[in-house]
Order: sequence, then C-alpha cells, then structure tokens
Amino acid sequence: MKKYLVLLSSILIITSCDIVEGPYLTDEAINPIDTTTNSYMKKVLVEDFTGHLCPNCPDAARELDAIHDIYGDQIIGMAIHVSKSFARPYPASQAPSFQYDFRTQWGDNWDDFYGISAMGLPRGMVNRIGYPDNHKLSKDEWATEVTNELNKEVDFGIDINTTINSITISSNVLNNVNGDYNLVVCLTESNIINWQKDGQENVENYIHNHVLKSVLTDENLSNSTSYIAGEQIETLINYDLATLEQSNMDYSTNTAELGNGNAGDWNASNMSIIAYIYNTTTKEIMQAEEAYLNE
Amino acid sequence: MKKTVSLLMVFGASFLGFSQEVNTGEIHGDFDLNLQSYQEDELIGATAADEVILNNAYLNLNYIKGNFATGLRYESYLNALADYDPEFKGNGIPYRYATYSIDGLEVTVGNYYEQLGSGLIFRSYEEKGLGIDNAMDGVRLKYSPTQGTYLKTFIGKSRTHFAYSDGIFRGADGEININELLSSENKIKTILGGSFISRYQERSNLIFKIPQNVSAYAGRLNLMYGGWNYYGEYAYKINDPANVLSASEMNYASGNAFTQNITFSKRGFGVSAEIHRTDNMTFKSDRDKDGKAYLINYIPTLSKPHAYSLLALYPCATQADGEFGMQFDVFYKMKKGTLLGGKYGTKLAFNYSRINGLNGGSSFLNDNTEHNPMLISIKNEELYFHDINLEINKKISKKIKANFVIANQTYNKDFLEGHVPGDYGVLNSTILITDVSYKIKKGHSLRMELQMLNSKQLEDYSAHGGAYENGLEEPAEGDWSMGLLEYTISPHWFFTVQDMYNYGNEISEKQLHYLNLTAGFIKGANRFEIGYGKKREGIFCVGGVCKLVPSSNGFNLSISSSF
Amino acid sequence: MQLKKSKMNKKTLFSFLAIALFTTFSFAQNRALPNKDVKTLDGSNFNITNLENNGNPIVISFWATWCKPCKKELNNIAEVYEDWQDETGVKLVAISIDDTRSMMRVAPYVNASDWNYEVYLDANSELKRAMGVQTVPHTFLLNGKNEIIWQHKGYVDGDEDELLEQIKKIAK
Repeated sequence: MKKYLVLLSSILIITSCDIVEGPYLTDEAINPIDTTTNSYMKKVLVEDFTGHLCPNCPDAARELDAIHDIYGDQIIGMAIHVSKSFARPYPASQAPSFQYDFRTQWGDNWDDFYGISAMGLPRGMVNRIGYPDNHKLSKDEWATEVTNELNKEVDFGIDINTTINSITISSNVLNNVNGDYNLVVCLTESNIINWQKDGQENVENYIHNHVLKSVLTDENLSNSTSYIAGEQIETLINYDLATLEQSNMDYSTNTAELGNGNAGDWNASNMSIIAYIYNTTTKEIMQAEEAYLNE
Repeated sequence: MKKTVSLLMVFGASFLGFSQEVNTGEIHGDFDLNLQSYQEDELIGATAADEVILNNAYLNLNYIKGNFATGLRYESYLNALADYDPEFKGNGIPYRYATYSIDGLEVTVGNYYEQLGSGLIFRSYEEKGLGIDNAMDGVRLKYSPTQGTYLKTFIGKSRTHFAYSDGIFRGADGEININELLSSENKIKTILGGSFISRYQERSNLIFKIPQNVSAYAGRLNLMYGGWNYYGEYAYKINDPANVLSASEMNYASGNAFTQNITFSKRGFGVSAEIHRTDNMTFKSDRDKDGKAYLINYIPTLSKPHAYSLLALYPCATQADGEFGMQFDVFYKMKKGTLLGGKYGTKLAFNYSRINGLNGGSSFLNDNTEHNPMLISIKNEELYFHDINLEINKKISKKIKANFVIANQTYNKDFLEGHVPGDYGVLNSTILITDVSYKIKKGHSLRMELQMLNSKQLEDYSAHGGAYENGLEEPAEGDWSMGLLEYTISPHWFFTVQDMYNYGNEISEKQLHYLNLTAGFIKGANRFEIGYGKKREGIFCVGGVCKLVPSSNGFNLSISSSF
Repeated sequence: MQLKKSKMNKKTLFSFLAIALFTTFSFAQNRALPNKDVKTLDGSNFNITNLENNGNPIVISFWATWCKPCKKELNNIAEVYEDWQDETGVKLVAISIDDTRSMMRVAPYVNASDWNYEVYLDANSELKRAMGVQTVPHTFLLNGKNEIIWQHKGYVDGDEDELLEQIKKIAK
C-alpha cells in the first residue's frame, strides 16, 4: 500500500508544465494603475546606474523604456553614470570615441553609499526600496518592484514651477505622516548623442536619456517630523546653469578618477527637473515628479 | 516559533525520561565559530569594519532514537563575515527537521537537502565556505518498493539567507539498479535513473506570457564493466523567461545540458575523461532575482579543484548559461624499485581541462530572433579557461617527502569576472610548486612550500593592444611568489608562517607582501585556530560557484567542536 | 515569508542546550551510527549501519580527492595498513565527500593509490552532516558493536600513531 502511495504522489507531482509557444505577447489591454483619490498619482523613481563602457547596460535602459511605455508618466527614470571601470572617458589618443565624462559628484557619492557598482553594472534602485540589504536590484527585478510601488499610498504631491534661474517646489501633504523627510531636486539631460558600448559593438550615435547632471538640493523638507494632511511647503531654489556646468567640469578634472574635464556642453532645452521626497531613515522615496526645465 | 519551542520540549522531555539508558535516544551535535577582525589597510585596499569584529557561528543539534531523528541548527551572524552576503544578519533557527523511517518508507518534514542525479536540474545543499545554503523546507518521501528500485518525491520552498524564495518546488526521482532488481550476476552493471522538478511562481507581467510552472527533466545512465565506468546524464528545462517588459529581453528558449564521463582504473593506474555542455541552464528559485543564493541547480566547473594557493589564484566559475567543457585526468603510481619509481615509488597525477563558450552564444528565442548554437564546438569559440598540470609525489627517504607541481593556466579575466572587455584581457600563467616535508623526530614535522607564478596577458585578447599606461586597461597583477613554513607536533599542535608576494605588479606601490601567521590546537573532536595577517582580495570558488573575498588585515579565530 | 527570530527563542534554546549538554556529558560517550545511505564505488546503495568487521574495530575516515591532509593521512596509513590489520583486525572505511565535481575521480585515484580500504561515496554530504563532520579530514573509531568511541579532526604527520594506540586499546 505504501509503495502505491509514494508512486501515486510521484506521478501527481509530475504536473503539466507551461511551455509557451509563440507569439509571446498577451492580448490583455494595458491600463496604467491609478491609486488617486486626490489629484496626485503615485510616481516611482527608477535609478539606472550605468556607464558608457558597460556593454550590458543598454539592455537595462531598454527595460526602463519598456516600463515607461507601460505606465507612462508614473515612471521617472534617471541614468547615473558611475565607476572608473564603466564610466571613465578614454584618453585623448582614442578620440573621438568615449571622450565625455558623464560622472557627477552626487552620482559617485550615491554609488559609494548604496554600494551599487561594486556589484557590477547594470544595476539600479526602485524608489530606493529595500535599503539596507535588498535595494540593489538587477534590471530583471525592476518591473515587479515598480508594480509593487505603484500600488502604494500617495502621501505627498509635488508641483514644480520654473522661471528663469529659479525653481519653486510645492510639496503637498496628502496624509498625516510622521518622519524625517528630505527634498531632493536634480537636473537631468536627455537626447545626448555620444558613444556607448552595446553588447559587442561600440555605438557612436547612441541617445543617452535622463542623465543626471546636477543635484541642486538634498535638504530637510521642513524642521518638523510630523506632517498634517493639507499642509503645503514651498521650497525656492535659485540656480545658474553655467556655474553648475563648471562645477561638473571641475569635478571631472580634479576629483573623478581618470577624469578629463569634458563634462560641459549642456543643452538647456533638453534638460528636466526631477524632484523627490524621501524618508531619511529608511531611504524610501515617497513621491517623485518631473518637469521640463524650460517650459 | 511556538512550534519550535514545543518540539524542543517534547523531545527534551522524552530524552530526560530515557536518560538512564544509553542506547535509546541520543543527542549529538557540532559547533563552529569563525571570527575575524578587520583593520584599515590602504595598501591592500582593506577597509575597516565598523563593528571591528565580524563573526559567524553555528550550532547543530541532532536527536536520534531508533528510526526517529530530529534536530535543528542555530545560526548567528552578528554581523556576518565580510565575504558573506549582507542579507545574513541577526540570528535564529533557520534549519529544523523531523524524520522517521518505517518499513522502508522514510518521511522527512521541515528542512532537508536533496540532489537529483548529478545536480544538473536540482541540488539543494550547503557550502559554508561560500555562504550558500538553499535548504528546502517542506516534505520529502523516500521509498524503495523492491530490491534495486529507489523512489523519492518532495515538495518545498528553497531557503535564501534568512527567508524562503518565492518559487514552490515539486520534484520526483526514480532509480533502477538493474542488476539488483533482477538479482543478476551479469558482469555489466546498469543503473538507470530519471528525475523531474517543477517550480511554481505567480505571474504578474502585463505584456508577455510568462509560464507559471517551469519544469526540468533529466535522465541518467550508469554502466560499469570491470575497471570501466560510464556515466551520462541529459537534462532539459522548458522556457524560463524573467519578468521583464522590454521585447529584446524576452527569451523563451528552452535550456538543455549534458554531462558524460568515462573512467578506467586498475591497481596503480586510473584514467578519467569527461565532457559537459550547458545551454540556458541557470535555474533559480525566483525567476527575477540574481545571485548565488537563488541558484537551485548545480553544474560544477570542469576543472581540477586546486589546494595550493597560487594554482587557485584564478579559479574558473561555471557559465550555466552557455559553456562547453572537457577534462582529462591520469593517475599513475610508479612502483618501488623501478628506475623512475625510486626506492619508495612515485605517484603522478596529470590533469587537463578546457572550457569555452558556445558557437554564437547560448540559445535564444523570441518573436524576432532564434538562435541554436552548434552541439560541439571548440575551435573558434571564446576561451574561458584552460588548465594543464602535472603533480609528482615522491617519498625521497625515510624522513623526506616531496610534491612537485608544474602547471599552465589560461584565464579569461574579463569574461569570468564580468569586467569591461579589454580591461584585463586573458591571462596566461605558468606555475611551479615545490612542497617538501621533513620528519625531524617522532611526531615532529616541518613542511616547506615554495610557489612561483609567472603571468602575462595574451596579446590577441587585448582589445586595444595597449598597455596600462595610456588608460585603456587596468594594471596587471603580474607575477606572484609564495612561501610557507609549517611546523606540526602530532597530535595536537600546528604552526604556520606564510607569505604571498606580488613582486610583478605593474604599479610599484602594489608590489606587496601578504604575510600570515597561524597557530592551532587540536584535541580529539575540538579544534582551535588563531591567526593574524593580510588576505589578498580574490575570488573563492567551490565547484564553480564563486564568492568575492574582500582584502582584509586583522586577526582571525576559529573554534570548532563535535559532541 | 520570514523565519522568526526572537529573544524568547534564544532563552528556551539555551536552557535546552544546558540540559542537553549536561545529560550528554553525564553518561558514556558511546553513540551509534546514524541510519544513512551512502553509495559504493559501483553505484549501489549501502546503509552505513550495515558496516561490520566481525566484532573488530572499525575506523571511519571522511576525506575528499581535493583535500591534501586527507590524502596524506590515508596514504600514510596505507603504508602500514597490513601490519595494523595483522595486529588488531581493524578495518578502515574511507568515506569520500566529493560531490559531482570530483566524484568521478574517486575510483581512479583510489585504485592508482593502491588502497585496500572500503570506499564509499557521500555525494550530497548526508552522512557527513549526520555525523557532525564540518571539515575533512575527520576520523572516527568504532568498537566491535559499531559504537563511536573516539574521533579526531584534522591530520598532521604522526597522527596515525595516536590512532593506532586507540585501536589497540579496544582490539580483541
């Protein structure tokens, strides 16, 4: 009797498996997830740590694009070029290939703090969730994590307004929350045409999008650690693009490993502002927002 | 947690109740503690640990009473050693089981380890040195219906760090030993086996059809005749795409692998030859995650595990996604009294292994492209690893024994370590080792090891043909030498001094000595070891699964005991 | 699903440990072999409790083809094994913990080394774990009733002399 029991369970265990024959796309309609009862949607920041010498990184950029295609404006991407091996510019003898230095001091600091490139690239974070042990996500994990994040409560709503040389961020509190929060405002540039390794090839005219250029502020949202729904906090930031550009060039020349100072040539019409609020203890990003620099 | 406590209480009580009798109900176990201090050392790139001291500790307890056994393991990482995954944090009891066997049926509930065939499709095991422990948690049944047939089935989730992975595994295996079954005295022994494993994981992809049940099958055959032994296993895994949204990533290709080996041995002589090929056979307990904690199958690298440090400086990691490998070993003992054998005889061990990529890369299938690599291809494929070595053991006199090793290894550092192509290129190293033991007097022995490694980068693999100076490549480590002196006093003491010297490094400030001192005391089932010194940053591999070991400077303490 | 780790767990565990250790050490150390299967070199299953040597002592030594001190121990004993057998009737059982990576090298190595031991394969370390072995070499001495009466970790030149002394103590 016992032998039949084991035999039977063996056979039952051999369940049918799901071999998928092509075509591989589903027929389901695609709807963005909208969790709002007020006018702010949950937006998720995906940080893609990358480098122009990293042959596997364009795959991650394509995955980020695909996620963006599904969820639209709810996904905000940021490409952060880091690490001497993957992002250093080639020496002048190799001109014109790989001469630009995409690195920034903030990108390198975040990389150091969150330990991203030490694990190899491409790698990234989704709303910096999972810190301190589970935040370094391979690109295969982004889609699942993004879905999880989009299902969360929206605690803050961010409005970005710009004038020449200044940015005003309105942070609207939507639920009563307690905690220590920082507001970060970054500048990114898209449509940068420059070299990139892609698999076995060196691509001359690769389009780099949402590349981190500068971080204007990373400070306390307010002095308080408790926020009441309905509260609104205004933050005014003045900036000068030329100064910021020079600062990056200086970082490349003086600090970045094997940097060549070639970090300028910014095109303001292709630049955007990304603002996000994060919890300083858990590092989790609660809300993000993106807007063009020159409306 | 409550269950654990009551389990402990139950068998604790029954144990005490029987404490007067010796053979009914016994508790045994083992304890292991590894502690290391990490100091800042800029020269070798060692960072200090905030905690100053890191340690791992384990305690295994097993209770056996007749056909019933139960036990648990307590693990403590406060905090874990620097070469362990950071997710090993805190302490607890991540392993507990109860098992009984009755009338040939063995039932295990709780945690267990298991391997199907040679592990091509499934292996749950622990390797403390690597920080791997993917123990299953569930139920396992084993039964032998007749003489010579063996069945087992199991269900469970696989452990990763202190939690369990998302995938639920169902597996079954059957093996038939034909000679035992038919009570045959046939000179040819035949064993047939088949195994099956399936992983269930929920799907949540919005645009692609992702299979929820991913299964793998394997069949094996073992033939023995006289001194000959043949083993062959073939495995097949259905499509296992990751949960991604970009079309170019969607890979619906199935996976397959085979491994075959033939050995022949007789007194004084043994030969072994094996080949294996893998194509898309990375099988994980969670389709999206990466890292060695999520691997659920085991495809060992086809290269010789080396004990001498310079031979293991550049170890090969298995490429389960696509590789073709072959290996060949010869063992020969030259008899005493012959010309070459000398007075006491001489032993030779020759090994050759070669691992390269598949023709055009591994299989690929989606709506736009399909690719099937050739079955066997050696000539033009990307070389990953190559090792040819000869070891000679000789007892020279009553007091002196010596080992000599000569080896040449080729190591594709860029590919195997995931660097940007051209950064390090492909290294070719020639290694010479002399290892001499001298018996000073009864129980006192002195052993001396001298190793030399000469390394160069192969020209045709350098992407730019340029040297490190013009910023296109990383500086090469270059040549190494290593010396070791070990003094042992049987049966309790050992003392070791060793130094690894990187005299050939391209950067002169990095031509460093890595000096290490160790002392130990062993008595019966207890072992204590204390050491101090520098460790080189490197890769430590067991069976083709590797971990990164950061450089460190400090002292280490290890205590282990079995009771 | 997270496994639970809590303070109460530790307290209970430690009190249980205290009981276990006290009672373990309060009577004789003799212990039986665990009920585990290993494989012979020709692929058959063998239950370790079926080891027998006509009431004479048995030595069980865990080793692996990649373990230098293990090979040294077994080669050193091989030189004097015949004498040991004549004197004490002892049988040495060598259990290899080589896994799939090096398992196929066990038979050629054993034969080329000319060993006369009983060799078994413990490919997924089931027996190794059940007997509390952490690193190899680890050697056990069993009396005529298959009870473990002595064990030793590691090997340095000369350790086989201590092993022979222990064997002689219990030889018939």
